[in-house]
Amino acid sequence: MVEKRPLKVGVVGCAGRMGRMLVAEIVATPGLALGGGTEIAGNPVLGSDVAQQAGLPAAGLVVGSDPRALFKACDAVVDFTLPAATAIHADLAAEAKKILIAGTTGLTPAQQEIVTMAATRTAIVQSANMSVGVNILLGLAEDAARRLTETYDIEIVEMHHRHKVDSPSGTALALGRAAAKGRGVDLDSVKKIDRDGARRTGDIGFAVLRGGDVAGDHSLIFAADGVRFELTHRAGSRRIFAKGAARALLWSRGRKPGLYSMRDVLGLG
Amino acid sequence: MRIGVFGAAGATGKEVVRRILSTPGLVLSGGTGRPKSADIGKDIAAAAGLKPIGLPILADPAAVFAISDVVIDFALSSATIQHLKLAAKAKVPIVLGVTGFKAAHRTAIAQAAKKTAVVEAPNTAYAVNLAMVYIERVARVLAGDFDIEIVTVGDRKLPFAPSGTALQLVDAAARGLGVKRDNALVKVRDGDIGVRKPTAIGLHNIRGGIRPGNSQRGIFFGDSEVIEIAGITSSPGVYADGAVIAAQWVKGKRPGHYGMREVFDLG
Repeated sequence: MVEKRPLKVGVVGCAGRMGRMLVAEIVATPGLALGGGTEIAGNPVLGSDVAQQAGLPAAGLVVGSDPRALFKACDAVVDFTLPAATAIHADLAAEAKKILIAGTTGLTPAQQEIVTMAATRTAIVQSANMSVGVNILLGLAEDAARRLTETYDIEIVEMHHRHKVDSPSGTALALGRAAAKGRGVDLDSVKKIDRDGARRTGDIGFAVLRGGDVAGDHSLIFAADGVRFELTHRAGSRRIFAKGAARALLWSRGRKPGLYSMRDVLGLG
Repeated sequence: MRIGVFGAAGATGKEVVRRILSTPGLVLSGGTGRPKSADIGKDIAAAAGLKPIGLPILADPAAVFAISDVVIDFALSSATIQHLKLAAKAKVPIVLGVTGFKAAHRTAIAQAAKKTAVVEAPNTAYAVNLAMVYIERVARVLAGDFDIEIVTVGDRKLPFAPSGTALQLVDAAARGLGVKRDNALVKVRDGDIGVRKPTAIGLHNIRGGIRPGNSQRGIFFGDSEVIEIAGITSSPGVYADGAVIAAQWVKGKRPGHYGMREVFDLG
């Protein structure tokens, strides 16, 4: 049997918190090999070793500042940076015909259009939450909401660390959107995030808990008379996003051009 | 459509009686109670807390088969084999809401299923069957990366373990992982158990309280993340709902061995 050459992966923003986790995950995943990393010009880490930045033994790859060179040197690039940068990286991926895994959130419609256009020329996996578990939960949430009739009330409970500034969490809202879609309703018309009184029929209620250093717990609860159905995800650390990115990388190898999501990666349809 | 109810004086049997009597198009043909118990001869509707309808609870299941299109069985498992033989003889479909089957029950189901339609339904709640389907689906996607444990909570009076439902959850996980139940199931962990095998399916049977909210839960433990899928029931009426749906579904079906997954069209 001919051993397949590992997929060579570059990380843009490789010295940030998420970037370092991605580097460590790529090094630890069979079938993937670290191909390099970049940071923005002026960052003091430029010129240091990419792997060492992630707390690993030196890999002989220096942190560069030219993403175009990174795309050229690698088979695939992972991007958990910022929306404006992701739009640029999508163009570079299309130009070099290399795979892009984008975990960036909050793209403007114009930025998203650039990514979508780039995906006509190369394979791009884009997901606001790369975690395998959360994506499984999102898929089940929509299916369950379609199957469990209106006799079930839908509620969402989430808990995060005391420092989190936004509420409800993006993942809680995504769960709500998935459930609303399954029900055939618009989340904005049934969302209840400040309940202070009786429940209104058809509402999707959100209970938000904050405290300690909880990385992120989410429960979607369907409750009817005498019966409940619950889907829960608990995150232990942000490492799950890096693990999901690694899974997306292995899956994307040899894919035709197209804009894919983690649902495609996981085969959830 | 005429439906008979075995175990008509039990907690779930009474709920089934109420459902049948309140559903247009359904007729309660008759029911049985435990032989020699005080329930025999009582009015079946009165036993369920309703106005009497002049139908006594019988001791003889054959008499109920003779006047029914379908029978729903929530009696004790000690009577199941006899019920299956009678169902086959009368060619009347039967919905088995009974749990706690042994090898002899399996043989009896297979035999009866050659002559009539048998729905084996240790748990008739839709939410619990949905949980099973999802456990299988997720196990298939995550095979090798996540460890699967099944946790069930049951009433203190449940006299055996694991329950039929718990084993169905284990089987769902095993199908998803592509392994055989006997090679995967771990029921006891005590002492020098060694490292957990990736294909193991741990089963935990919690017992306590009276109607504590029976829960059937599949837990997937990954690296830094956990997924839980749970069906929780707190009233026998939920089982009765599913059993009546199964009875309506099975009428006119060919002989065979069916499950709630087919009844609920869960794919």
